[in-house]
Amino acid sequence: MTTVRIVLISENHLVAAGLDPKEFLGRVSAWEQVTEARLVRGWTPGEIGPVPDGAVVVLAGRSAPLPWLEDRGCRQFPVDLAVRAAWLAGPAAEKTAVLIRAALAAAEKVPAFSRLTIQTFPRLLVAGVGRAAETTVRAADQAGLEVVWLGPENNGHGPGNVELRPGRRLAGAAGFAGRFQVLLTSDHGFEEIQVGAILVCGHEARTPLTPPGDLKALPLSVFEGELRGNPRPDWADKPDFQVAFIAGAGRSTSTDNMRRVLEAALAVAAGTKARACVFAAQVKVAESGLERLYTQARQAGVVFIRTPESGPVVESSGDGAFRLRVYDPLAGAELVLAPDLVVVEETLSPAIENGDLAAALGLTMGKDGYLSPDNILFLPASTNRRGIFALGPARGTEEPGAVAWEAAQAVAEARRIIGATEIEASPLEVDLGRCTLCLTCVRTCPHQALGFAHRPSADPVACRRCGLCAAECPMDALQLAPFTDPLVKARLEVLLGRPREKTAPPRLVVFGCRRSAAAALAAAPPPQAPVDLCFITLPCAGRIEDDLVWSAFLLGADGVLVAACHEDNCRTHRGSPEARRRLEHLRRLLEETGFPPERLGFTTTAPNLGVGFSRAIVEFNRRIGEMGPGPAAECEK
Amino acid sequence: MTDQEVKDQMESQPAVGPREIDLARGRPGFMHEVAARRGGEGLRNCYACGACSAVCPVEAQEPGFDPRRLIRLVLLGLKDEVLESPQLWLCSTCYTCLETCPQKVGFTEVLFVLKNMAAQAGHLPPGLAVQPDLLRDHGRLYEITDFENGNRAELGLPGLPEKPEHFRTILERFRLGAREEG
Repeated sequence: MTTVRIVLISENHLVAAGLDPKEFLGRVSAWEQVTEARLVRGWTPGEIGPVPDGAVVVLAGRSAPLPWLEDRGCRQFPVDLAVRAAWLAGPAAEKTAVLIRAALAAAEKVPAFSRLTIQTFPRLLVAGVGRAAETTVRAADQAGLEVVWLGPENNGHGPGNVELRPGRRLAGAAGFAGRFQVLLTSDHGFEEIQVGAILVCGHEARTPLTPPGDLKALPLSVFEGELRGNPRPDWADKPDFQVAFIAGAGRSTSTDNMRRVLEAALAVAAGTKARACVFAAQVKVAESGLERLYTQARQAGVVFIRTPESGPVVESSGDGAFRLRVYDPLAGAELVLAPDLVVVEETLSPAIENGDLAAALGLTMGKDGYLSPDNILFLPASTNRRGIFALGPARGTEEPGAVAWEAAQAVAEARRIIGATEIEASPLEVDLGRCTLCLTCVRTCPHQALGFAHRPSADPVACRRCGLCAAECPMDALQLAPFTDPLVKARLEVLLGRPREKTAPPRLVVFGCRRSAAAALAAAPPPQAPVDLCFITLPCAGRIEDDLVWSAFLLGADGVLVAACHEDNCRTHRGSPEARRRLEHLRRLLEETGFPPERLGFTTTAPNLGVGFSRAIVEFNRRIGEMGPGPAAECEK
Repeated sequence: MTDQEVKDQMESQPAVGPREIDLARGRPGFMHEVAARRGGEGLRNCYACGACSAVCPVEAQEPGFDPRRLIRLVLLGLKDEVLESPQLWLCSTCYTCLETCPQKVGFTEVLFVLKNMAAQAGHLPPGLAVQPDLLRDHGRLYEITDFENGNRAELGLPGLPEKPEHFRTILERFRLGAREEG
């Protein structure tokens, strides 16, 4: 059965480009490989007409595939003519034609869309003790999810329908989002449970802040213990006993800490004969009930002194005595206090267990020692593994409001994962003839998305389509559809195969990340200088490999520019930094072989930086122009 | 600002009161004492925005008379510093601060309370302390002598009585001019 190839061309675009739609249509229809070409004014089923199942379809003038054609086995390739044509050199008709031909060559190689049905485990696992864990368990329970809580010791169940399993630790999580096989250890041995998502809340670890100067200070939790203690401390009956609280002291305090300081100060002022004074750079009351607590404390006689960020000045008068001093602009004087007891607040720090947890669950730790990558796109609660979330103390969040928000988001995402039983099939193709079972891909994947039975396979839910596995595979056995080597090369052949004018601008190939570079290009103003650029979209810059760069140069590119997201903004969190590393390595190799490494460029951008990206391209274009024709031109001589 | 910069700024400005205040001298009950008297209720609402100081016409001339600073000293419990302060008596009672205050502190009224407390504690400035006597003895707050009458005669104005007895009789009759006990 011959393949039906249909080209749908946006009539509006042709008119905007100054072309005669009927004439252009005739030209495309005449191409050998085209079964039928149609002019369309819109992209609804009625406007494009009937399309046979399994057809190859080029959508000329559209930037995304058509959803209803996906399920009918059609292989689609959209090409955004308006954006791409603006960056190519030459007459409008030629440019449009070559873009459509490149799309046709690519469309051949796109695999058919397929779905699969999976089964998920409709249960959530919450690990941790303390307020964050309680907030999370409650949120999950209220969302109607079954919860297993590796929580505190209790002789019964947790709230609602929560199953409590105290005394267990997370030892491993095999499987993927929606279908985890979790290994737990306890003093009694091992157990395995199956859950759809894992929410790690961690343990609260607190470190007392270093008080300024040589002050001897009591950590707040110790003081709270003294206040609650039985019998009452001696100082509670001394009317002139001064307790000084130091909040913040060189770093910003949190509302959580402020609440504890206010409660303790109030307890001293209202519940004992002693007096309380709070030295704070900021009195942080932006949390429910704190403003009222602050007013109560003031009414009870607690004195609040605002200090500079570094805290009060500490003067020691020898033999352990000292005074605290702060200039108060309101009183127009320096306020001095010789406290009898100083209490300092504690800050949240990463729990020691985080390292073991990260190792057990395959999680990337951030620089501070918390369980989430240092990347803004992984806020509020995501980790590098889909379906595993880190919140509260596990990621360094103290404020109860922020923890509640993290819990709500994580529970919503977990619900979505558990509910998604119809999913798109994995985009990863394995060439069994080439795969040598080296497991490089499995070790490379930053998302623990590759499984290995007798061949590597990417889980469609866990895989984030970064392409690092395909780029690193030493045997080129992996391909990530629709960004496969054959597809990219087919497009490059057509685009770079155009005849060259002597006065034409240099031929550039830009391999751009689909999220940042492609969007930035679409938002960019047209170039102010003559530019001839072929833009190849990658799923993530992490997909770039030496092979693709070489192909571009050999097929006629004078310069190759790779454009990625900014490192801390990378959608897959490792794609952009790995691309940069790989290209730096490639540049060193190029230099060794005598090939000027400046012909290979790397830049970072973001979806809203259209103007910046446009300028970066024009600048690269200028530099390549100064270097003269590239290697392919040399070979042609 | 660094601590040194703060200190330099403070020392470059003229002192408006003590340069150093020992917080241990603060009495937590003082603000409640003031707030318990009629007129002082709004004192504890103050959040030190400084609007009162900004609009005060006296403060513009006499930087030491700073309503916000006085409230701060009361809230710190520094009873003696406040009641002995000569600045309590500079208020012109224009009421601009009371109208401007976003928190309804009612500073003019608070200051009346403080002035009464200061007077009762024996800290009336001499210029004010003599006023009841002047009123009783001369019928006015300013003594009229032959000097004033001489000036009046030069301007063709009739003279004023120099030691009018009838004021004393009237005031004593209605018990005005005597100091309040307690």
